[in-house]
Amino acid sequence: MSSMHLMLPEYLLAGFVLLTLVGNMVVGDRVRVASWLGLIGLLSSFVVSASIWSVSLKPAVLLNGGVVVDNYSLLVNLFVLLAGIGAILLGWGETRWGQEFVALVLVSVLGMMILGLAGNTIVLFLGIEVLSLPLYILAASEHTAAGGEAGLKYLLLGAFSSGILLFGLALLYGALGSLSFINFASLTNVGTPMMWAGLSLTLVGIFFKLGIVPFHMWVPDVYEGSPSAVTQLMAFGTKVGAAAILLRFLDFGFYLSPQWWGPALGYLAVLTMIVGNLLALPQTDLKRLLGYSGIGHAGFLLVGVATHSLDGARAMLFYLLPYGFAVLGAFAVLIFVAGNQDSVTLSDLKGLASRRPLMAAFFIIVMLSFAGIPLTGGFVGKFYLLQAALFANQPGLAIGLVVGTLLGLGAYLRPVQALFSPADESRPVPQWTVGGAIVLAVAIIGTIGLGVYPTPIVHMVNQSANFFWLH
Amino acid sequence: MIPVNWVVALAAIIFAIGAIGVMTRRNPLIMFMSAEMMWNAAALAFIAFARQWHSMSGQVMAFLIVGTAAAEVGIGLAIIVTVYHRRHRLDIDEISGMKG
Amino acid sequence: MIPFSILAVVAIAGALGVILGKQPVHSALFLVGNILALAVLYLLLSAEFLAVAQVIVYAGAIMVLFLFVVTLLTAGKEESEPPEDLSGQRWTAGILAIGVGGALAVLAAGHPGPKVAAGLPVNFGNLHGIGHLLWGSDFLYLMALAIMLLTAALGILVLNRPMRRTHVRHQRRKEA
Repeated sequence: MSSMHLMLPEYLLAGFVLLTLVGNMVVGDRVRVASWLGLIGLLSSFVVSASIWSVSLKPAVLLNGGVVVDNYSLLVNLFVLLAGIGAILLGWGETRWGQEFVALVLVSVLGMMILGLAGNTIVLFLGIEVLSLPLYILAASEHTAAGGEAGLKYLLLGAFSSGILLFGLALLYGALGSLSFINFASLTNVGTPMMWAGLSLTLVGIFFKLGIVPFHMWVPDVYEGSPSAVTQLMAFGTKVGAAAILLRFLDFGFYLSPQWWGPALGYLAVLTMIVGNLLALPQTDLKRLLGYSGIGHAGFLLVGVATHSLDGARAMLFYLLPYGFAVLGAFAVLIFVAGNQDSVTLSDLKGLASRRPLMAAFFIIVMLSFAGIPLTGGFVGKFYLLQAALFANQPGLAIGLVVGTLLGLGAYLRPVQALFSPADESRPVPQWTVGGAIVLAVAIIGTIGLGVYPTPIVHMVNQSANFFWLH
Repeated sequence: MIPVNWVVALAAIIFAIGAIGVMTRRNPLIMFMSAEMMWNAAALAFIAFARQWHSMSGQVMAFLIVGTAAAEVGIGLAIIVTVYHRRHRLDIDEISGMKG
Repeated sequence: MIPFSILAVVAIAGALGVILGKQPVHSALFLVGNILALAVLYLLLSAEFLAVAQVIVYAGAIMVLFLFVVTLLTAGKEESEPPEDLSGQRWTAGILAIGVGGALAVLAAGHPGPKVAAGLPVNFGNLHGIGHLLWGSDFLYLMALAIMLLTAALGILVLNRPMRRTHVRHQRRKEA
C-alpha cells in the first residue's frame, strides 16, 4: 500500500481542519456548520483508520523511518479520534468558546495521531507541539480569570517541558548520531553518559505531558480552569498520545537496555499511583478530583511500560480504553450538572439520585469503573496490569497498584455518596443535552461491555501491541 | 574550527540558565523568554551535533525548532495579553460594582 | 578558539541578563544579544541558512513581538514589579537546575564525540542543502509546521475576540 493510502486518516483530518475554517468563513456566525464538518472529519478518519487496521498487518516504515504505520498507530488513531468526537459532541452548540473551537480540537487530535505513528525524534517533537499549541489556546478560551490563568500556566509549563524534551533529544542525537528510533536500538549497547543524560531528559519531558508525579503540579489547575469539553480532551486524548509515544520510544529505541530505565519507571509508577489517588481524596471540586484521578491513572499506565514485556504493553494499551470511556462519561455528567456554570463541586451533585435517577446511575457506573470494581472496564484493565506486573516478577509494582486502587476507591466513593444527600432546592435541575447524552450512552455501553465481554477488544489490542519483537 | 564538545557545554549552560529563569522568576514574560532560551540552547546543541556527525537532519530539526518557537511565541503572547487584559477589566468591574 | 570564547561570554552574559533583569524590557534586550551571539556561532558551525533564519525569525520577528507586548503591557506604569519572594521550593528548584546544568556541561565538555572521517557533504548547511531536504524528503515536517503557524493565527483570533454580550451579562450577574 502506498504511503498516501496508509496516512489517509491524517491527511483527511488535516483537510477537514481547512474545510472547517472555510465553512466558518463562508457561513459566518453559525457554529453548527463547523461542528458538523468537524464531526464528519473525525468520523471519516475513524472509519478509514479502522478499515486500514483490518487490512494491513505488516508495519510500514515511511519517510526514511520518520513515520511507522502499523496496527499500533492505527489503534492509537481510533482512541484519540474517540476522544475528539467526544469533545465535539460535549461542546456542541456551545457559543462561549468561539467558532474556532472545532478546528482547534481537530488540530490537537491530529497531533495525537502524529504521536502514535512517530518513528523518529523530529516527528515526536512535531507531534507534541501540534497537540499542545491548540490546547494552550483552548485552555485559555474560557472568558474568565481562571481560564486565562489555566492557559498561562499550561503554556509556561508546556514550553518549559518541551525545552527539557528538546535538549534531551539533542543529547540523544549527539550520542547516537541518528534521529530514528529503530537505529537507536542497535546503538544503545554501549551506554555513554551522554546517552543516559539525553534519555533521562527526554523521559522527563514526556512525563510532564503525561502528568507523572514529580512533574504533575500543573494538572489540577489547568483541568479546573479549562472548559469541560477541552478538559475531557486533555484527560483522555493527551494521555493516549503521551502514553503511546512513551511506549513506542522505549520499546523501539531502548528495548535492548531496559535495566537502565525499567526500575526508574517502576518507582515513578508506584509513587504516581499512590500520590495521585491520595491527593484525590480531599478534593471538593469535581474537575480537580478528575485531574488528580488522571494523575493516578497515568501511574497505572506507567506500570504497563515499566514491566517491559509484551503483556505490559498490551495491558497498558488496553487500559487506555476503559479509562477513556470513564473520562467521557464523567465529563458528560459534569457538563449536565454544570449547566451555565464554570465549575462543579461535590455539593452540586447532591440530590441527583432523586432528581435524575438515570443520570445518577450512569455516573455511579463511571465512578465504579474509575475505581476498578468488577463488571466494569476499569476492573478488567487493572486486572491485566496486575497480571503483567506479576508475570514480569515485579511484586512491588503489583503492591503499588493494589494500594493505589484502594486509595482511589475512597476518592471515587465520595462523589457517589454526595448523589444521595438531600438536594439543594435552589439549584436548577440538570438538563440533558443531545450531544452529551450520546457521549454518555457510548461511554456506559463501552464501560459495561469491556467489563462483561472484553474478548474482542483484548484480541484487537493483542494484535496491535506486538510490534517490538518484530525486529 | 571550534570544538563541538565546548559548544554543547555552552548550550548546557544556557539551558540551565533558562531553566533557572523559568523556575525562579514570577513575571510571565520573563518566564516565557527563559523558556525560549532553553529552546535556543537545544537548537544550538542540534546544530553542533549536526556538524559533528556531518548530517543535515540535526539542522532540519533546528529549523523546525525555530519555526515552532515562532508559532508558540505568537500564542503565548496572545495568552499573556489576554490575561493582563481580563485582570485589568475585572478590577474595573469591581469598582463599578462597589458604586452600585 | 578565541572567537568561540568571545561568543560564549556574550551568550552567557545575555542569558544571565534575561533572568536577572529587573524589568521585562531589559530581559528582552539581553535576549536579543544572546540570540545574535548564537547566530554567529551557527555560522561558525557551518549552518549558514540557520544563522540567517535565527537573525530574521528570532531577532527580527519574535523579539519585536516581545518588545511590542512588553511596552503595551507596562506602558505608563512607573513602579517595577513587586519584590519576589524566593520561597524554599524555588531555591531548591534553582539549585537543582544549577546542578543538572553543571553536570551536563561537564559531561559534554569531557566527552568529545567521535570524529567522522569523511569531509562535509556538498551544500552542508546552506540554502540548497536545507531546501533540498525540506522541500524533498522532509516535506511533511514543513507541513506540520504550517499547521502550527495556522493554529497560532487562529489562536490570536480566538483569544482576542471581544466577549459576547450575553456572556458578559451572565458573568456580571454571577459576580454580583
